[in-house]
Amino acid sequence: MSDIAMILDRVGKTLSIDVSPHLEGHYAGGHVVMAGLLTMMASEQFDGLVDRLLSEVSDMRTILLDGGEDVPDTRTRSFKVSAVQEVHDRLSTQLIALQERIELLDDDASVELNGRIWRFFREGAEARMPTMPDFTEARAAVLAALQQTDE
Amino acid sequence: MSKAVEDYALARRIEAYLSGQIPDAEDMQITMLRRLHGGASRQTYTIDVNYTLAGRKVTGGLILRRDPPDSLIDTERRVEFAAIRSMEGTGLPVPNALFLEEGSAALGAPFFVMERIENGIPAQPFRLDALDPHRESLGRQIFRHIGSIAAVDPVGSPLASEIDTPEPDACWCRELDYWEREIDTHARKPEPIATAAIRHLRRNPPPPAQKLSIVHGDFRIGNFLHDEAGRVTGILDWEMAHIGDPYEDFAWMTDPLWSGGDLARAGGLVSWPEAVGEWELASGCKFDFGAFEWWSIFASVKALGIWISSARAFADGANDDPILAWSGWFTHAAHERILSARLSAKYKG
Repeated sequence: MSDIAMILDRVGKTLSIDVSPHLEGHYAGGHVVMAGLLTMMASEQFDGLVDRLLSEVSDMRTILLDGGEDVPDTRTRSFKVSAVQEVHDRLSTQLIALQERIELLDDDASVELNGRIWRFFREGAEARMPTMPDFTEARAAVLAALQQTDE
Repeated sequence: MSKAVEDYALARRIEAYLSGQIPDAEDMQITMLRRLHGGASRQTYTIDVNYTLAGRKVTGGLILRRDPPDSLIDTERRVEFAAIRSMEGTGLPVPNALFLEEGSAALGAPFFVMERIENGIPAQPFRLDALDPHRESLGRQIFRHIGSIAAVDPVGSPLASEIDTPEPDACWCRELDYWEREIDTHARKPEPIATAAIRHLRRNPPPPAQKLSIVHGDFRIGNFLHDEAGRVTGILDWEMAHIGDPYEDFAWMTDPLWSGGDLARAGGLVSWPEAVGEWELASGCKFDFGAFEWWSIFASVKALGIWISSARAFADGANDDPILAWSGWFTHAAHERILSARLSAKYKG
């Protein structure tokens, strides 16, 4: 069986809904609820992660080239998440430097490019946002754990 | 059914410590000891204790906050204790701070002990409708309490003896410097949204603080207790307290993450005019939208600093609490979304 997203989703729900009520104590139950929630989030992200990273690499590459940056070869020999993430991080660092430079300029091209960078940030943040699981049985346990969210 | 005493060895050590702190007490006995989930920076226990004092039976509820074995947060423990002490006599619903132990001999790590507030439950950050029909009443109290904290004179307070007091025109940059360092130190990947937001805040500084005040530092949904009948009964988690600009707590409380998606109301609780009115009346400050706007964006940057630090602590194995992984993932993503939406609108993005 190789349907990893389905497996993670089912395991997460089992931990949060079925297992956590049987554990002794607030501490143990809270840990398992959170572990189940994270497993469900991993399930959701699993299928689309590489696609999202590659899409963002492409968008960043376009912005950097339009900003006059020298962009190295972003092709990767591997589609492992770690390999694509490495390219993504490299371009993100370059994008930070580009934005830092142009946001001090007030010519139309720089203002327009800065706007495109912020639009890229906003759309990327929307795409990265995990869905909060919303199923009635686990909701109370999840919310009870989340209310303890702290540093 | 949970065991009443989850860790007998720890219970015996706490009994010995309390006997030393209350030397006239006899028959010191812990009848309930449970570790609470969350509060990842410290191990938090709820305790029932019985003893006899001058022939009279005494029963009490305590909260013990113990540093993790590898903790490097001596300052914050002392600060939290001093901040709670600074609220004594103000009428604000804070727990009584009882004992601060800075050595490791008693319980294996430094800790402090507070009285437990009995008649309260925490509000749930992602389900504000559960507060109905008391939501607005609680909201008015919350913003009054935030104002009342700001009204406490920091000069001569226990907190002022533990931490620096900035100049009014340096409050904003001290906080921004601190959280920028946290982000730079703990980030595990580039943080373009956080760093762009920090640059935006530096280019558009707020006015000097209209007064210096004690800042709770983490006043939000989830860090206060209520009695389910419309009364706030406890203000908790003072470990990020400091002296600074009164807007900081107002802005943190009204951050969109803690507002349950209801941005039409301050903190998702009460109308903005009512919140501002309560805060102004209690604090003696005037509300200026421009200054608030800066502190509001800063609140989301500070949140990213917390989530990035949480993710680092989890990834490095310094703390295995899965809530840190959740913070470093879900709430980090939420605050990137909040910040990018707000700032992209300013930059035509």
